[in-house]
Amino acid sequence: MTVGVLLAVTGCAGSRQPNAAAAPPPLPPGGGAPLLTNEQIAAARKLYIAKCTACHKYYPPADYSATDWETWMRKMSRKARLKPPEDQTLREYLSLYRQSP
Amino acid sequence: MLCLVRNRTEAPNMNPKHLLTTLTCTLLATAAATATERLFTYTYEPETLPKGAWEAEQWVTLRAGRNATVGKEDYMRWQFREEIEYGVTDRYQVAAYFNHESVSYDIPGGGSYSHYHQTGVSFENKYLVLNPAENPVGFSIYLEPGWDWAHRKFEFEQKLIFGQRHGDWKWALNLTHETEWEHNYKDVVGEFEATFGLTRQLSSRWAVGFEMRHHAEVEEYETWEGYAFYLGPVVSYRTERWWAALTVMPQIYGANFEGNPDGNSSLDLDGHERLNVRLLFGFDF
Repeated sequence: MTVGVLLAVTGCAGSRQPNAAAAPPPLPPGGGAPLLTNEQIAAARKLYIAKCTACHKYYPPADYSATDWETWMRKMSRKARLKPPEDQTLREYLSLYRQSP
Repeated sequence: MLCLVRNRTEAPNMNPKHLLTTLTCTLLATAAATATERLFTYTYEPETLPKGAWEAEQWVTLRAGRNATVGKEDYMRWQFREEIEYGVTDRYQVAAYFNHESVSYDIPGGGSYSHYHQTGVSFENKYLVLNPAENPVGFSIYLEPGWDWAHRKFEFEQKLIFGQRHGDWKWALNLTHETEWEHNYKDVVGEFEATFGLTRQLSSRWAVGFEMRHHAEVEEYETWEGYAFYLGPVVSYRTERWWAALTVMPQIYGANFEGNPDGNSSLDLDGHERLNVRLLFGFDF
């Protein structure tokens, strides 16, 4: 049974479909211009998945006021042990979703 | 180590002062690290700590209720675990547990038994194979060797951990196998367990759901001893600085495969209890 479950899971995972509830939706090519390049967006999304999704679902940034969003970013950055460059990358990346939810 | 067998009239079964001291000390010990919220207490979720993150948790488990037929009236077993976790990479985390417990019960016909001892250390290794944020189902492998010097036994636990979020809902499934080398490391016992939990985030602080657990033991991998199925609610709460999760699971059904030592046809009260309750605390500073 265990082997069956493993095969089923890994087989499904082959499609690598993102979980919309866990991470920000992908942006169209050039969607981060002029702030971020496509490569920077891909790296930032990877960072978000590694650092943020272990604890919580995706909260759309556009649902928050600027003050509330800053408060949460500060708390979560500390909780996820983000280094300053990582913090900056995620702030810039998530700010794209404040402009275009 | 404390090990006391008393007459029923001499002293209470448990030492509340000792339990309170233990709780206080362990809570203080966990108050100096950060934590990641858990939504279940018996069921692990596949996610791992971010690289470089530390986490401290306090576990308190109550296993209560056997019966006079097995010689254990008013059975109470309090198990404590202090855990420290560390994220080695974003996909691999390690943890160390210190385990201790207190057991007490009345002996039919007179006398009572009360026993506190350290039950050793365990070391957890958890590797995130499939991140649930990137895949339809999250999947982790979990290995935990342990040494119980009080009972003179080794144990090695292996888990397959599955789980996923769906909006405000989250589920997790664990399939566990454990081998114990007990009775001075000579006898082998196999244990098989499946746990499942489903919970819904009601607000930024509260989540409510249920957990179920099926557990069975096989003596020497030859003779099935018994099994029990538990089901009950789980509730979790988190603030900026601390979180807690509580599960209360009564035994729904169980059976003994070797005769009927507990005289109960619908439950297993020889190797399992009527009620399992687990409380987890985490602190974030």
